[in-house]
Amino acid sequence: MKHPFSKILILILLAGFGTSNLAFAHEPLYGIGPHVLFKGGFAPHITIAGSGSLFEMEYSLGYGITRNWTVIGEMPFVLDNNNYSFEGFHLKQKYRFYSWFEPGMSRQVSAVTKLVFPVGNDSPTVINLGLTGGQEALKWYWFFSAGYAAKFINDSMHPGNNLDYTATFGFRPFKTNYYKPDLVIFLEGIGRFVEKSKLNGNTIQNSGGHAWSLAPTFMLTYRNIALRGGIETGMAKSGYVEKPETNYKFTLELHL
Amino acid sequence: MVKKMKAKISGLILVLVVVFSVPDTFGQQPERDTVSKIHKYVKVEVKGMACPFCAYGLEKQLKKINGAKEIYIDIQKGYATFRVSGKNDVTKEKLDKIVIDAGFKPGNITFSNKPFIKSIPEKIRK
Repeated sequence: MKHPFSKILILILLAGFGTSNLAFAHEPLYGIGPHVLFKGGFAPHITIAGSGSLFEMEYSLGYGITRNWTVIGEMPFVLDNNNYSFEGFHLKQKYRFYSWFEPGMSRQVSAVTKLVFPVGNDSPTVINLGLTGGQEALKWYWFFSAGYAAKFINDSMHPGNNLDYTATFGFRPFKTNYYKPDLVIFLEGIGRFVEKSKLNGNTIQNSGGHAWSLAPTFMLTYRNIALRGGIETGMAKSGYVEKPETNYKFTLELHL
Repeated sequence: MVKKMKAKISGLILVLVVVFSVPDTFGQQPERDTVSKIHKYVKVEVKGMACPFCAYGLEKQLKKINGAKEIYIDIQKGYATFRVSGKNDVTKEKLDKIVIDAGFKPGNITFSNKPFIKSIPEKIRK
């Protein structure tokens, strides 16, 4: 099988024009939202996540190329039973192509692409194309997102591509003030559909399926510092996929 | 004798009143007049501003304006105000671009020689 790297680059470039953003500010923690960084802004993040013996740490840096276009690089590391591994470089970009602004309220829709570079020969190159939108207001929030992850691997075993979708609702319990800490509470609904895997081109029948989970999350900000956190719990599944294990996630983000 | 004493006390009180009223006349008041003459106050309505974390980008963009001081952002009311001192090139067009680059939509922009808010929090004064 010909390595699809050149195709991937073309796809990324094509998908990139006309889309925008990654998880920023008042956005879902497990899903993605339509926010983009301000022009010329930098946003370093550090994320820790884990479940059971698995512990993951991720460093990332976002940059606002234009007021509608943000790029992000991510470097995740995983510690599993004392085995430390680098999970491959992720390159994301988000382009906001629709926005509607009113006093104290914004509605935005963005397109997102994510490229996961492989680590070694047994991991796939992943291209994720997604759409996300939502409304943010002084009191209430809602977001949705859907993303399709296509996997490319030079191996007889081809894991099934997956479709991830999220719906998030949030509210601000206390009146916000620019000069005081600000808290927003979210409830995220997360769904995943995994296509059947293939071995030597033959479909593996006992593979693929659906899984759903819920995640209460929060975001606490003070000026340009944001702390987000939450716990995801698997709720249901069908087919041959695992129900998501209960896991935690915390992110510290700066806007510079 | 008593009349002379009363006259001296009255004179002393008058002198004290004059002395303590002088600094107000030649100290503080002229400074306020000077400030209102050489400073320009700007108020920019910002649409789409719903969270402090996002509004930080607006503050950062406004700080790029030469001489911009006392930048104050009110998320609830949806505006930003600031003071510019000395010669500056602040125009409505430039402010529109600043708000757009910060990721929002500009509304009305107003200039004045008087502040738009009664008192700016001390920590914002620079």
